[in-house]
Amino acid sequence: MTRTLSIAAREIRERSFVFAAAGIMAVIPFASALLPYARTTGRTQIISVGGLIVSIGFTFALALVLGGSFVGRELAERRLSFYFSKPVSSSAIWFGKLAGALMTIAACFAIIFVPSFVAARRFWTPNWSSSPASFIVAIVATAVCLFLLAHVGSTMVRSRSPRVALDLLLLCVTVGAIWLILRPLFASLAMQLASDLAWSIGTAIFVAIVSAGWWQLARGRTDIQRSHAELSRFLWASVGAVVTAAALIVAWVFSAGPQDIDIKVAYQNPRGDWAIVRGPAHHRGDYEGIFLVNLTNGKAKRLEEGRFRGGMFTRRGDAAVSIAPFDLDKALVGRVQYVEGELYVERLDAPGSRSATGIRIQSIYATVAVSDDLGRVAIVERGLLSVHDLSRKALLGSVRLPENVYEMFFASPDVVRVYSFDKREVNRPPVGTRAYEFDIRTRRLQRTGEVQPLAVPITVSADGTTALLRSKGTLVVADARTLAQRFAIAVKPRNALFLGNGGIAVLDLSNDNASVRIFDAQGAPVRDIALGPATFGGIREIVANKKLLAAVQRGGRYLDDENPRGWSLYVIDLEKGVVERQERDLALRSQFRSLSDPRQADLAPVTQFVVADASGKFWRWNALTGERKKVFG
Amino acid sequence: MTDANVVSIDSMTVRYGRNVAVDDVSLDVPRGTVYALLGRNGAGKSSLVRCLVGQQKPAHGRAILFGEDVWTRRAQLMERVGIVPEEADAPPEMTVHELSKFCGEIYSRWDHNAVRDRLSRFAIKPDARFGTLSKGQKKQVMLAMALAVSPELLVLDDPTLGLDVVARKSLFDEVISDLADRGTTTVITTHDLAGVEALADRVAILKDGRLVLDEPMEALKSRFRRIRFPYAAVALAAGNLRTASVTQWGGGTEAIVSNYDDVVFERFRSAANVTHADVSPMSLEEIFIAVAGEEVRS
Repeated sequence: MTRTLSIAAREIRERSFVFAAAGIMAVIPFASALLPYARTTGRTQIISVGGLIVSIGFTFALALVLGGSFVGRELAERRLSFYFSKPVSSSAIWFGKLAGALMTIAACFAIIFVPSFVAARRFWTPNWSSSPASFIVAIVATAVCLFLLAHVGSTMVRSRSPRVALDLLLLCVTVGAIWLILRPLFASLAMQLASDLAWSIGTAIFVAIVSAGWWQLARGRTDIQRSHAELSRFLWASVGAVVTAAALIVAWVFSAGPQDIDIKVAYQNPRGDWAIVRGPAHHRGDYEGIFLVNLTNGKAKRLEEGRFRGGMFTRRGDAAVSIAPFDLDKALVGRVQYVEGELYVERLDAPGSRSATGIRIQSIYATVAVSDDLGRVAIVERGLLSVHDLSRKALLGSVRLPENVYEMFFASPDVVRVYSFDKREVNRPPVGTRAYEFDIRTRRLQRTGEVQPLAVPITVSADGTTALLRSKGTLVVADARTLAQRFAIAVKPRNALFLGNGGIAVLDLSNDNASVRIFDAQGAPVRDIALGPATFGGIREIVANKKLLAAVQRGGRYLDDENPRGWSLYVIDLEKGVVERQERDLALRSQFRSLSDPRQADLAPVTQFVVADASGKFWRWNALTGERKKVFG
Repeated sequence: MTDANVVSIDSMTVRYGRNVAVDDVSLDVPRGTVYALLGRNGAGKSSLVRCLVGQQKPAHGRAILFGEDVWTRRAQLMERVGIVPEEADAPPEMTVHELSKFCGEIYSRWDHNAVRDRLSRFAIKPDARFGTLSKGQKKQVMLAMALAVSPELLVLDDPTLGLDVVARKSLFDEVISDLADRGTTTVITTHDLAGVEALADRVAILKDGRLVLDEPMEALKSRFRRIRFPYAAVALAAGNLRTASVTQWGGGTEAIVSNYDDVVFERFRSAANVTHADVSPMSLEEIFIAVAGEEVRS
């Protein structure tokens, strides 16, 4: 240790002239503040900014120069034998020289920075986003990294060995490998995990470089060729081990199966037999697995691209639709939401049929609808409606929409119906709702209806003829094509749907009390079923013939509120007008996403739902029997 | 290797890429010996010395100092070794005093007084920066530092390179003085053959990386002779006399014999009926040229 310190002290003395240079540089910010223009800019600001620029510039330049010379130049000039001819270990030489150089860099930074910092402290403090300590640590850490990189580069270049070509090749391979390792984590939006792994890799490589320097001197000593060879051997072996370990970690992260995740979100298809589940995987940071699960047999498959836009089912639940970035690398270096995506469609009745449609989408937030026969897809983005044939991967037609689309669906295989907002002024709330139909055969867009003021479609009947609109706090039953009102029901609807007999069920949350109100096909009230206090909720689906599932929450505001506490599920017998089953602290996780298609599914009643209990566990819950089963297996 | 040997080199080969600098060299340096390692430029002397003091790892073989592998035990062994390198490697900005002080911190035993005395004899000021000293002064400083640890082994790698006659003499005088005092084992590589001739007990010659000669100085000098036959062309091979070189001139012959023996030569002369022959001893320099420099002559 004494010898290490002696060497460090000698190294510092050898370069003591840089302290004088730093002292001169420290004067520059103060001298600049005396110049005439300083009056207008502000002397304090000039001192602080000048001190920052000069200190960082000098420190980084010094780090590069010292890193490039403290071993490399002495090797090239055969002066390293001065130490090796003495009774000092290679460790003492390396760490002594390293400590001396780093202390010199740190001292020079302090000599320049501290006076300007002290003089302009009042300017600095409010302008720093982080603490001064972390700021200084960041600069010094950067300088140390530059120093070590300069050392490695200097040793390699000064040796004039052909091995440099191999070093460059391995450098490129390493950078490429690290990118390939981190890429899937970024692609899965596991940003924190990717960041942590990147820092870990960086730290490990930092340690590898420091250790490689020691190894270089211990094994290469005064022979610059051998020194380079040993440095390269140790460095690339260590980096290879680090990269391999990182790759194994990422492989382990992605090995998470459905049983390894805590389900946070589940989308059950309207048919009730498939679900897209996602949630954080155990011990894997912020990585979330997303799987397409067959609820009938519990089998699951990974659906990574779903991370970019959840997963979506078609109205009948017979296909899963997802959008993946078309160019992932571009997505990772740019802003994700403005990256081209590609549409994927998987027919659930034909496992393994998932296929890239070849349809590029400019924004992953585009509005998408799929025809009932799964043969066509309609996409709206940036005001342009386009219809594609999936089997032929051909564009069938496109038209520019005059307004912002809200929802749309295939009214027939050749007609796309669009509900849009009538926006009279930019940056103002919409004032009305309009309906359009785009005929693919004629490629004509026709406005079929309008309603003023704004009326939000709650749902459209399965046959696409009748719509339930929420307008001015009442429920309006309208023609789905023309939006012409047929009649209004004086109820404040939170949610509503058509019943099998043509009647209408409405969830009313007036006065923070939930009730399900049943009306006949003409809007005449049939019965009310009180559910108790609630601030939020929805009618979810017809459980079985003449039975309804309602989910309400006390104190909540969102359907996908992650906390199951406060949620209650009610199975309501519509004929008897009674609550047949009530489950407290059980939240529905079946949200029946069906793209932007507002139509109800014309399917057999669903009895099995994905739910979460108060402990956060997910279950397949039978609404008729109350039985709970595991989601998987 | 025996305990009597301070240095043992065992089948050492040093390569630089495809070039072989030292080719399978083995040698021993007995305790108390002044061992002169000679060779032309590029013969591999400095490479061998760097391996000898653990600064370089040979491609094959090893160097043993005081019975220990110098590559693995360099730091410990250097306590017992003083080195004067071919190129003075001390940091140029250090003063001589700082250099001595630094070495005093590094070595467990360091004789500051000895350094001061020697520097005084060399007329070098302690506050002089190493980089400002002349080549000869630098070598003198390095020698003073090397001797300050009272080394059991002194390694001098071409210590007189680039020095004038006075500086050479001063340096050798100091070495001789130390040898007289303590009998230090010394390995010296040099081109100053006249200077080392009086110093060395044993001589080795490297040629193209190979050790072509390794024997005591006295034996070497006794077996090499220059023989002139002024009036006749003589075939010395017939007399079992091995010639390092033979030159025919005029009507006579000059030969350098590497296995000269008085009895054998007299027998040869009688048998060959040679009446006139001048036999003269050779200097180390002449022997070196005969052994290591024939391609120049040819």
